[in-house]
Amino acid sequence: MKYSLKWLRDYCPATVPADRLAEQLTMVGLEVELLSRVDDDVIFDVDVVPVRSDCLSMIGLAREISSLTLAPLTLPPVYIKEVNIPKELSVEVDLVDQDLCPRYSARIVTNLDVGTSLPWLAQRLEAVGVRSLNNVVDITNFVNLEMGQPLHAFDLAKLRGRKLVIRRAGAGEKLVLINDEELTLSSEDLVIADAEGPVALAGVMGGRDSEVSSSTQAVVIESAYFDPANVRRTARRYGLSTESSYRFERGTDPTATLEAANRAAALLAELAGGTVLAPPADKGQTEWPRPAVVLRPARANMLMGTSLTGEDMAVLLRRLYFDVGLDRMENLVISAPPYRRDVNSEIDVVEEIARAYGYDNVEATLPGGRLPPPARAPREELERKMREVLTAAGFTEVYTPTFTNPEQLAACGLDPCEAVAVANPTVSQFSHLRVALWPNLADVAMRNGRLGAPSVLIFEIGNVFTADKGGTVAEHLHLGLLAAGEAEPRHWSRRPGEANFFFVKGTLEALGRVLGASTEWEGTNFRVGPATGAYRQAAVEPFGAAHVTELDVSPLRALTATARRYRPISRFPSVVRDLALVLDEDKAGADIVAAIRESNDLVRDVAVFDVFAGESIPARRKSLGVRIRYQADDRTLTDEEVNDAREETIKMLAAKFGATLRSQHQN
Amino acid sequence: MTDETRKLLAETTALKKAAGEAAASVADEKELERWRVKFLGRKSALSRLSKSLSSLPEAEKPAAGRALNELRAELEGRYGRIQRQFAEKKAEAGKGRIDYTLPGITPAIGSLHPITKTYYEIAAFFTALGFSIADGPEVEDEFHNFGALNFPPDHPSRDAQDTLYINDEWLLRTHTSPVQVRVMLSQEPPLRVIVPGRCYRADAVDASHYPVFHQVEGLLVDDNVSLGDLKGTLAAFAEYVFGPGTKMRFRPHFFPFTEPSAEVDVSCAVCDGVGCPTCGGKGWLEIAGAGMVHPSVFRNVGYDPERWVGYAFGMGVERIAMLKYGVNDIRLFYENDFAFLQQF
Repeated sequence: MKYSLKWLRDYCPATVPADRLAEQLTMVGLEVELLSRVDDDVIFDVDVVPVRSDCLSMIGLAREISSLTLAPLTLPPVYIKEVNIPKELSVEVDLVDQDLCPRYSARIVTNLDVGTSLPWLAQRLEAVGVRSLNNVVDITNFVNLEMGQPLHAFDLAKLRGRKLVIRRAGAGEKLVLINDEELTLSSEDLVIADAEGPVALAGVMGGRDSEVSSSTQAVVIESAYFDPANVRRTARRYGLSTESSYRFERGTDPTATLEAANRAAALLAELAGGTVLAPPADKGQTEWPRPAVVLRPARANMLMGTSLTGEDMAVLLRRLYFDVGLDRMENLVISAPPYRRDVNSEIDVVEEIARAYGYDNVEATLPGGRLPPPARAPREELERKMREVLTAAGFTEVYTPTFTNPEQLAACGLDPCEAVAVANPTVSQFSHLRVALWPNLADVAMRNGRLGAPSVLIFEIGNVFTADKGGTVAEHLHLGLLAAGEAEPRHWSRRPGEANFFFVKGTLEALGRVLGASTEWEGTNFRVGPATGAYRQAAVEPFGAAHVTELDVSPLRALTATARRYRPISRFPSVVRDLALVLDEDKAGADIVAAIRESNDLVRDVAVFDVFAGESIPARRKSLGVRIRYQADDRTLTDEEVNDAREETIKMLAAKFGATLRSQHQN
Repeated sequence: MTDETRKLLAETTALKKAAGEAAASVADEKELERWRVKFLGRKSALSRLSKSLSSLPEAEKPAAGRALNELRAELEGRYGRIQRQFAEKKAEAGKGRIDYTLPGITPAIGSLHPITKTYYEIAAFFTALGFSIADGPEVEDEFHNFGALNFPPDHPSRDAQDTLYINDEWLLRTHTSPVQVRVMLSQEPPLRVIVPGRCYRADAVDASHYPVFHQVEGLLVDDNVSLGDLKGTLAAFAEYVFGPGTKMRFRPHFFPFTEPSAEVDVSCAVCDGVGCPTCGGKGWLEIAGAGMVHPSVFRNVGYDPERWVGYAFGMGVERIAMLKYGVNDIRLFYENDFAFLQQF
């Protein structure tokens, strides 16, 4: 809200320079977001937190300035000359739904001379961004800004049946607002109605048909306390937010309704030639007693980390216009002023003391106390390990938005129906929750490729979402990996290595090894321990194809806490033998390697070092170069032993896979 | 010692001498290969002697075996040395002199995203203070995101949390605070946890807003904790992350789930607190919201608010990364240009 320093000084003549005052207000929780100098005035734009509705007025902020600077607070005196209401001008006020309108005050002012406002009044309003309309409307706005009590003026002549009924709307009832918008009302809306129908949407906006105009002679000034939650629901239902609804939904001071109506009536008499009629209407609850709050000074000190005396605290609270007494236990018994609707319990009072004492004056200490035993964090540990392995393997981590949209999904061959939709997206390309990481990774690859990157090796760790039966949303922690272009930096001293399937496969195998899980493949699907994933190629310009894997790593969280067992290492030398096998091209390499590993106890390692077909190899056969490492735990192997083991392996391969040796290697 | 063994050992010595002499006259790779076949091949004397080892008496096998192994090792070593010499000679002859000024092969080293790096610094500080790390779902319900955290229904305090909804029941969490609730519902004090994670707001996209952002939530519950402890913790944190001499201030603020509450500012590193465009002329930059856990929150999770007190804070990771690295546009974090990512 905007405040004029000149206006504030009408109530509190603090002489503190404006920027110093702004700093002080900021440090008591009324953050001055913008300070601007206009002519001979200074405008403060203050971020008022929702529970401090008492500060949404000049007097409200002046009170805070008075508390801060100890300068006196002066409220404007209200003198009203009243005349008894003549019969023909009386209006019956019928408060039907008191649950939504606990108090309704109203005053009638007649003999009005509607015209332009005096310059000072127009200037006051315009300084804080409110347009001057005419003296009557300006006065209601002025009192709202001055006291924080929204008022509404009805043209008395236009109230049919001389009645104001405060009631719930009938479902389907219509009301045309002063902004010419026609509403079809809900039975949960509170309206002010005359004998025939609604004339105002209570607490939000008045109706067009009873609006004050240049020909208005008499007005009813409404000054009410409306139920905050209901005003908020109604305002949101119609997408309206007004100066009135803003204050009512934050809670106004129910003890001040008549006072505000009187202030407006007095100003109408003074500035618009009006005659104030008596008596005012004042329906509903007029007494608003506040329960006393007991504050234990020791507890307040413990919570703040201070060592103030009860008396210190009482002084601070009295500065804020709180009533403070003592009970027999030396506790403070506090009664907050009626406008401080946010102070209702001991902790609320502690906050007030801390604010008044100054957060700056609270000594900074580190917590002592008891340390809870550290707990393992499986997801954190897993993520850290994955990041370690993948960055070491040359992959760069990316963060992409959690969102997707039907076009992106369709372009990636994914079913948009399986994606969870966001009900109220603010950005159209963020309309659904992502179902996989790789579509976003492909976008990142394309972007960087177009910017000239010769290669893109990237990964992301993050949640993806699927709709579960029963309307719930399932979250899965995924790892997405993408490789496109050159897997290794290009250098003239060696041949370039293109990223391909085997590159991402090997990367995942390395990851599995670090996590203590074995990696198994079935076609393009794979498992790393208990986690399942799939490989695919995605078309990514300018690389042609990107090699992508996506793995649901949720089940791997459990692995991080699994202890590994040490396996004694052999102190004896190992012996290497190569086999150049020729076999049918449909025989799976992984099966051959597994079979060799099983063929003899002395086999420690099996690695494929060469695969080729054609040339000297018969049609539909391929050559597989395999390097086998033999080792025993308890002795140095003799040539004979190794040769026997090798023969055994060759025989097994011939029997099981129809493999023959391409040539005998010399050893 | 049997004659057989003696003969084997003598032959081993002779073989060593012969191999050495022959090696001295090896002039090229072809000759080297012939030397290898002769002295190390499958039909070599060494191979024959190795096979005869099995016919020696048990007691004499180790000594003989050792002698043969030593000989094999020596011959293999010599073979390797000569081979390397030839290779080096060949390389030098083929390529001429190496121009050592040419660029090396920089290995492809991946990098962590700046949000991860910033989070790791945050986590390092708090784990050193005894905080454990917890996590929770990003799709939340009304109870955990609002109700249990003391947000009254139909209250303007919800306006600050522009919420993205999935449906009437589910929403995208607007902060990491619902995990506080989950932790307290499942554990007993004393507690020290931080909670990193993605959060969501119904924001339009601009230089300082993005519908996705990251928070780190902190919660400490014990029987004697103060606002001073919270100040001290975050002051030490500010110096840890932004460097010694960084000043911090607590401004009173309002959050439904803490009281007293504060917004936490650090002195602007760009202008040293004088005021500049980065800090909007204020000299301070907001990095977190914090406060003492509200007694209603304790009641909502079944803790006795007379027995337990605590503090909580939530910091924006992007915000801290932007201040730390001088990044002026939040969108850069999600665009993932290598020119950006590789600076971290």
